[in-house]
Amino acid sequence: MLAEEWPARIALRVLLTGGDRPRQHARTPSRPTRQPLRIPSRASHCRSAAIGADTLRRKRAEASLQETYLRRLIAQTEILPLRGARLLDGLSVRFRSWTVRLDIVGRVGKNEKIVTSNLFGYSTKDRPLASGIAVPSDLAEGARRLVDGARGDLESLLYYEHPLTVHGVIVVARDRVGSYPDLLARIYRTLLAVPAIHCLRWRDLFVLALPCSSAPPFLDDQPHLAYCVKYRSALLHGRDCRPEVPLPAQPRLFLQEHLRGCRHYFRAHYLQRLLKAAYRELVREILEEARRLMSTALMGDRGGWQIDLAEVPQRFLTWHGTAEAAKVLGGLEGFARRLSDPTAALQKEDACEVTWLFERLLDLLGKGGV
Amino acid sequence: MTPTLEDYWRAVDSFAAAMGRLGDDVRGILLWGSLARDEVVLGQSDLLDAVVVVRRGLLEERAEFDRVVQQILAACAPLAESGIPFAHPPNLFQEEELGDFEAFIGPTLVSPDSSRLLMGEDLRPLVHWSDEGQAVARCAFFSMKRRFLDRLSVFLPPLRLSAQQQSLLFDRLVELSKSFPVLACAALGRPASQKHALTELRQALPDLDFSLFDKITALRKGERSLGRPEELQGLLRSAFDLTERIEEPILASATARWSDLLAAGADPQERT
Repeated sequence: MLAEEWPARIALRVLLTGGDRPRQHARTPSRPTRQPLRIPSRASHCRSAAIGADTLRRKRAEASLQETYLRRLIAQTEILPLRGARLLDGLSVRFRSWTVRLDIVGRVGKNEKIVTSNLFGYSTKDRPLASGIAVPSDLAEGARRLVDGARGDLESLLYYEHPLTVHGVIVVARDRVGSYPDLLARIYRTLLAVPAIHCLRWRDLFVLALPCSSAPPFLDDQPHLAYCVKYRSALLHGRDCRPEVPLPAQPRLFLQEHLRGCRHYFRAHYLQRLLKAAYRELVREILEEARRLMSTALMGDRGGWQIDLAEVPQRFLTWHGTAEAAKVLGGLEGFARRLSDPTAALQKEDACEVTWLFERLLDLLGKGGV
Repeated sequence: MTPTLEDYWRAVDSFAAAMGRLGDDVRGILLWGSLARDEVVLGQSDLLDAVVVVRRGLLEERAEFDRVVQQILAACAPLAESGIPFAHPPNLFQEEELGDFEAFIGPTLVSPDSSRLLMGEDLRPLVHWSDEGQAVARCAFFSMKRRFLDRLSVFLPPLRLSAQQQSLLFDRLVELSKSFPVLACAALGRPASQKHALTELRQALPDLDFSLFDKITALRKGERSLGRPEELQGLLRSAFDLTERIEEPILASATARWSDLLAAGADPQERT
């Protein structure tokens, strides 16, 4: 499984840059292959200035994590890949897929104007459970802290894997808690690294199986959620709520709602991207949304909850193997290959083409009798 | 400089005129949001809450699709530079997709006092919701609560709100005050437009105190000012309390049946 998430401990690597350049992973301090500082062709004294600034910046970044998280939550960027959000002065955060990058931009020395540092999730030693579900160690640590702090208020704590959002947790509160909002605050502040948190009471477990309104490109894990909670999960604390979670009676409602959300929200979104000439970003978002759509179309008996997004197009074709579907998916996959090449230019025509293909997919799924 | 109401209408009219170049392919354009309700907060209300409906099947032809997209972009470009907050381009639908409006906007869009016809044919009477669409709309309250409200809890004490955080939280409370009543009405099986949702809620649940939304609206309009930052946190706590109290009638609502949407937990692995 992908285990890139916001780390509990952060290691910063400083890149001295004069502008944008491909961002690189930070390394854990213990890694022997820690990469050296990359110094551009500037005066050598910049190096020491930058290293000193590194410490300061690191402290600042760590102190700001809570602030960052607030912004992350409130700006709802957590589920919107590659959407930047301004943070404090000189700080911005960018979310790419399920990893978090914190770009720190500011003065570091007399001769150096910009330092870009990336806080990047690193793979941790996952903790395999008997069920075969591996809980990332950072998340397990957070869960332990939560249980220690709120044991009396928690009925159950469950970890699950999910094809759309990598993973999430279900926190079931006792029916009577001192202050439910304060418990929520504790949960959200403790489980910083978790992309999806569902807090509810035992009586409300059925909500996990309900369809919900969809607003792409904002991600939601409601499709597949009940299946993942029941069959791709590990109990971390308390009573096992999984037998109490029902399954959706009409999985096609989730696809209908996803299609509705794409027509309502995603069309306006891609028009906005075109308006801003953000073509590369648009192509990437459309490719991701197309896969999510196909994944939602494979809900229920089609086993979509077990299929990672990368495998979805192939599985989708197995189920929906018409010539038109093959043509549309072939076109989209062609763009996926181009997108994976960072040097490949994507122009307005490309953005329009991929947008058109996406519309064909919407049409295909809408008329497909699904 | 704060834009005037005339500036808002001028911008919207210019958009409609530009879209008119698509001729009969545009079946109608509806305006909704604060401008349509005569509730614009100058300089804060954004553009463009509009729905463009094109003729049936138009987006299925590549050339026509490109033409529509290019015309929308051309019509929006001046809006983005008008000095009025420009949030997003319009929603785009084909005629056969009428009814594909989600729970938040649907009732607002068809209500004559929450929407206005900007050009073309008035298609509002043709908008319909299937039973399935309404079923999903009933569930939207839970999504709103999880995606939107729950995470706001991080703003509660002991956090001492900075000025930036206050601004952020206030924006979120304003958003909440727009969506909460509409989605609560939908969850109760009493769909209502944005203009009438709060009244509808007060009628449906007379024992609950909804003054929270009046306070947020008054703050937004500048009719009252905020004292200490703790006041904002108090409003947030009120929102949580209200949600807690409103959930019970929603869960017990006779008109909003959940059982139709749920199945017993047969193992899909065994079935496949």
